[in-house]
Amino acid sequence: MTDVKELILTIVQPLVTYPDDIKLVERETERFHEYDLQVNHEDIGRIIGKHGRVAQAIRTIVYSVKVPGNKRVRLNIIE
Amino acid sequence: MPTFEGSTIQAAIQKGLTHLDLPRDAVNVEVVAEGRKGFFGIGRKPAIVSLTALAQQTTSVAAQSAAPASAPAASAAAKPAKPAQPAHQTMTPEHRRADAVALKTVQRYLLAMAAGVQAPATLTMKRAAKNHLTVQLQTAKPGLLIGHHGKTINAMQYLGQVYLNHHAHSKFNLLLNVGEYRQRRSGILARLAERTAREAIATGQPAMLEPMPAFERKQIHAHLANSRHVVTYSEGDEPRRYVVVAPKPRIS
Repeated sequence: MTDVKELILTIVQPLVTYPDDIKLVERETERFHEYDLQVNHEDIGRIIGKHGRVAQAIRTIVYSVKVPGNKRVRLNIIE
Repeated sequence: MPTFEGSTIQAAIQKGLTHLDLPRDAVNVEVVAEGRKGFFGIGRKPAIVSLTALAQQTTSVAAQSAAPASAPAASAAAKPAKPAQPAHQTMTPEHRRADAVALKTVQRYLLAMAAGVQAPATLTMKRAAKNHLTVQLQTAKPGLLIGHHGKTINAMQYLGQVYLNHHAHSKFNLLLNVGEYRQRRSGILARLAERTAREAIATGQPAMLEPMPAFERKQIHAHLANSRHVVTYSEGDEPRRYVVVAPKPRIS
């Protein structure tokens, strides 16, 4: 059983210039395990990528892990 | 006479100068091959130059024609963490170090991601050509690492690429493979290309394929490039860009 939170950090931390500024908050909503990701202002572009390609790749990997229960994972990148 | 390869003539010369440890004005440069960028990477040829030290002026032998990537790749493969060869003219020791470190740490990054998706893996990294890296992953659970139609492995490949762009000084291309996945996929794509070409010819209508990443579309294009009956092109916008296989208009 992977900790989704840990996985997100594993992926995101090495890609940013200011790893200390990463904030990741987990919230439970009715249908989702929501993860709100915040990074340093300068790193936002890097995490989203051209046309959201980096964000999309991160989500692909994060959503590929199975979580118990029937809630889905959702990763929000907050500006 | 030593010859050197690079993506451009400039890069090749620079590489040679670094290798010989000579300033630019102490050598005579002879361009053996100009190099081509190719189309979709097909027909790409490295630039090759032959350098002669001016002090011991001799006639340069230009006979050593394109034998791309054989010797340099072999030695590079043996030492994957070797500093990158110069992509630009300015390759300082710091740049080299950045490249060497990035090549090492990217492996750790990929392994951490693999472990994160429940498919702990081992990996071997090779320098297939100057700035082309291939990473071979082995895992007990390839399915988890590959994902539907390679979704996960392609995402990991892309993130690995982003990682290298961020940390390394030189430009690297990364190709990730899990087990025999890419080889299997090549076979599937080749058969798909054939089938689609037959369909296009039979119906006389253009046939569209599913959206695919660029390097997979490239394989389809390459497979049908020499067909006398169909032409291929891509339509749509990334990430949902797809290949169209259309019957060639009859020349009347």
